[in-house]
Amino acid sequence: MIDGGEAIRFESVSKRFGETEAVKGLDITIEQGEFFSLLGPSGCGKTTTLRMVAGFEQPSEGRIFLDGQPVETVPPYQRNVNTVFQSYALFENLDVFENVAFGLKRRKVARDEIRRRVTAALELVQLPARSDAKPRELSGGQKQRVALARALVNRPGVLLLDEPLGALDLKLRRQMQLELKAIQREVGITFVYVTHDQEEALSMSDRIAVMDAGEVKQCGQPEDIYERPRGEFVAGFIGISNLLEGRVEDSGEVAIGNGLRIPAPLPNDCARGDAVQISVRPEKIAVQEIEPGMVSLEGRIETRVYLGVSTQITVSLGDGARLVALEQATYRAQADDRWEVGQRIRIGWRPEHCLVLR
Amino acid sequence: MSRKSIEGLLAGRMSRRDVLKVGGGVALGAGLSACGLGGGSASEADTTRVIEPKIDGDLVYFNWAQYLNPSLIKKFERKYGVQVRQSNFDSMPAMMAKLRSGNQYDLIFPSAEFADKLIKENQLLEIPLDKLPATEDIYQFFDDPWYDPGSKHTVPYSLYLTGLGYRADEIDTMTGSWRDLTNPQAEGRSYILDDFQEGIGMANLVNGYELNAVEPDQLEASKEYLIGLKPDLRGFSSDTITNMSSGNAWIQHLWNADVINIRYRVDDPTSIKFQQNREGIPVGSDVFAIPTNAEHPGTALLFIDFVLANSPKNATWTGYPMPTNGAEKPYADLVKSEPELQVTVETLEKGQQFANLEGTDRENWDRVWTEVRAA
Amino acid sequence: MSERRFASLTLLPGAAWLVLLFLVPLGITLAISFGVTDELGNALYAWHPENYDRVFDPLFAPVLLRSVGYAAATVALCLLIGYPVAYYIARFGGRYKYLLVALVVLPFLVNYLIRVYAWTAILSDEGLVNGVLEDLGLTSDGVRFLNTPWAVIGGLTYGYLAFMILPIYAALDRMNPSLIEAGKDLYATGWQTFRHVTWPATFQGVLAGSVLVFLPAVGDFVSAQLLGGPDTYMVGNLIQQQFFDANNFPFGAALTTVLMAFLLIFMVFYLRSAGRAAAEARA
Ligand SMILES: Nc1ncnc2c1ncn2[C@@H]1O[C@H](COP(=O)(O)OP(=O)(O)O)[C@@H](O)[C@H]1O
Ligand SMILES: [Mg+2]
Repeated sequence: MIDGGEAIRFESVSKRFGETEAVKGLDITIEQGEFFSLLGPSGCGKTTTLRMVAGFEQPSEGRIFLDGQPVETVPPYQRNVNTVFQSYALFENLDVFENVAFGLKRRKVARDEIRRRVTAALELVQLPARSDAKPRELSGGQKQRVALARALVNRPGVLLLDEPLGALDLKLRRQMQLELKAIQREVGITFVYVTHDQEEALSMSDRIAVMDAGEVKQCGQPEDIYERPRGEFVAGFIGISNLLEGRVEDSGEVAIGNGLRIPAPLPNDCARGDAVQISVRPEKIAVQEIEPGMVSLEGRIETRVYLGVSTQITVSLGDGARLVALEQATYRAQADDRWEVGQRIRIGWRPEHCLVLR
Repeated sequence: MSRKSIEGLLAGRMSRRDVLKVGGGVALGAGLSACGLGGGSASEADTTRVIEPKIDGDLVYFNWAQYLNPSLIKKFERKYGVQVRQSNFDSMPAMMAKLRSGNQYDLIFPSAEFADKLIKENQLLEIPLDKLPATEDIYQFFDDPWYDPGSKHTVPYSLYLTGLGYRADEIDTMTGSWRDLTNPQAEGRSYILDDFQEGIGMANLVNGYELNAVEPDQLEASKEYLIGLKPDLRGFSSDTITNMSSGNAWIQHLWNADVINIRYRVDDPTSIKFQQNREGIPVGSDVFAIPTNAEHPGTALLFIDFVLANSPKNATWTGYPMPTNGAEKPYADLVKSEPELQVTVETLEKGQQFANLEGTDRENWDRVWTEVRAA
Repeated sequence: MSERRFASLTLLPGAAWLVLLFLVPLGITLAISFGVTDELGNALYAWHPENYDRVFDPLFAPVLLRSVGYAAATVALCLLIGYPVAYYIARFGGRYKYLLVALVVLPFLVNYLIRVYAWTAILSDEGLVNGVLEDLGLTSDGVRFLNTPWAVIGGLTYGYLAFMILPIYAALDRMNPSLIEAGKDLYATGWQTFRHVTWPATFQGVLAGSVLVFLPAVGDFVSAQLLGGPDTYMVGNLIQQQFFDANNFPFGAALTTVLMAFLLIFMVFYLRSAGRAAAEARA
């Protein structure tokens, strides 16, 4: 659905609240029709970024372009942008229909067109039957749908969603993720989606910007972010942190604390003696069943946590270094019975799954 | 209740009549006690306790604020080695309410009208005038006053009369009549007292009736007069000193002593003049009285004698003429520039005193006043 | 079981307080309202319902109407002044919010009577306001503020403004600020957002404030007494006169009872509306 034109462009945008630098030097371009996520821990500046697009905050420095036009002088109610608020922010005194019709009425759309579009929007979010209900009579999921319909019905150029599923329980959340993605595909509107849930971001987005302390650490497609995290923060934030401290050796290996040497694909600019970290995703680690060509190490099982579809094993390599492995509960074994805490085992991985971070 | 702070606010001397007739708690207190006790629970025997002018304890004193020269109180305390424990009321009904709810005072200062009431209720002790040398000096006029036959229960304290105060610098066409209230030079800046007696009494006098007229058709005519007066008035207000000293009032229905207090407050004291009116002059007096339940009536007697003996100092300080021969001259000096302020025996004889109306008469007056205010 | 008993025990002091300070005086007022006065003007308990006939004398109709009119004007003024103040404090007060709320309440530390009395000085012909107007060259002769209906309504507004500000402030403070942003986000201008979002969301606060202002304003006597003229007599003055001057406690009590009954109607309407809103909020 991405059709190439630029929807939003941030040019060196910063935002300060007194001493706090909420957003620092943001440079991103979001394409039209893209499902773009801002991912990061709480307080990293996601909401602030979104609010600057909506016009509720002005950047302290830099400029924001919507549809190629700078927007610093455009008040929120004139921006072709709509927001789905985390708290839904439904108007309690209005029923569902009136809530959805709110934006259209302000823009003086004709009555029967309002009726048509509101009905269509409510069908899109699968709530056509509740148009007479007051917000307080709705469940959390239903409120979420109304909030979505209320924004979408205006056919904005960009839809901003601030942790829209944050208040829903896990199951509903998964379902809504699928629906949201489907709706986005159907309407083709650019979505800027804020979340602190990496799985959510990975599963829904065309592209993700990972933020930390006001800065974008990495911006790319989900696979990029997951497989090739740039830097410790991104690697640590996405998936389970599995980092080993080490030092580059001549032989293209990394020496980790307890004298072990691990072959790893070193970046070109790494020199001997550089301090680096190596990272291996837990699900890439084989336990006991080492295949030829794998890097392999011996360790001792420290903890074992049964997770249902998988079992998570922490393996101590001695000298404080440890790695987490995830073993899928496949057809072949009762995973939770296979290992005992304290047992010595071998673990291994393919060299290309090992990442060197500086 | 709030009287003290208002005094602070005004930062000046206040006379007995410089009173805001507003309050909340008092009304309730008065209501409860009035109903609880009813009238006349005391008998005549209670009033004839024999008392001697000698110290029998500290004096529990209950008076208007600023209505007695404080230096006299200090001197009395020093002379007799006792304390004068002062408290104040801000209206006659408030004083009555306190008495009725059982508070014990040694000395109170009711108006003649309320003295009449208290005497009829057997609430006042007989006072042995022969044991108080200073009472010799009191005008003979008070040997047998209307409110206290034979002058047995009270000693006169102060005198006042009601007239019109006006701004001589703005108005030069006063005619010596109550009708000057509508003098066009005042440009609508005239107030009458927010007091049913003074209001109706004034109308009665204007209409040529007795001050205390109670005939229904006369009262009706006075009511019509007052209602007809309203468009020319700026308000009903007993806050006379503030009204005149702030410049809001150019003509004010008031008591003579207020003029002295107003003069203390304005740049040009001689611009404040007082007029006694030819249709009639309401006069009145306040008295010393000792309630039957007083614990230290002996000290109270000594105090009365002491204050009377020092009447001149008291009269010039309070601004009120005192009913003793000795005080006449010093007071006359005080009001030299406005002799109309003086209250002499002749004034008293010429003037009319408010009676303590009772029963239907009182009800009719109240009704008329209520109707005037509501109209 | 025992916890329930304990809970009801903890209610005792409050209940005693209510009975003592509200029900007992109410009962006494009611009893006196059927009473008579004796020769000396003292109130006596009796059965004299004619006191109530007099309350409905057409003579007093203008007084009652005037009181309601002044109180209604006071509510309108308080709303006009109070809403922006509450709005400012709730939305832009920031860390000074509580200080600003305290400032709103501060005048209440001073007796109402004295505060209104101070206004007589401010509104005098040669008072502060006229002084400023004169300095600005707007008037040469003093404008007559004092002793007018406007002064009375002004005094009432001044006296009860905080009763309007506080509940509106509470409603605004409680309101989700995203609602306002949602309004703007959905193409509503500032005014439209206020009209369609903020006002409805805070309406219960407005209602509470209006009742809190209206009730005491109808019965007030201080403002009319100190700031009014010959034709600003309110029902509170009428009642006060019966107690203080006329010595007619039974008639005063009958007036009080009727006034309370009248105000009770407003109270009931308000409580029903608030109860409905609360029930809806719970649902
Ligand atoms: N209006 C504000 N005033 C002061 N600080 C703010 C304001 N809004 C956000 N911040 C600060 O800016 C930082 C980023 O906040 P926010 O954008 O809300 O983060 P996120 O949405 O990623 O959790 C935080 O430290 C927050 O405290
Ligand atoms: Mg946020």
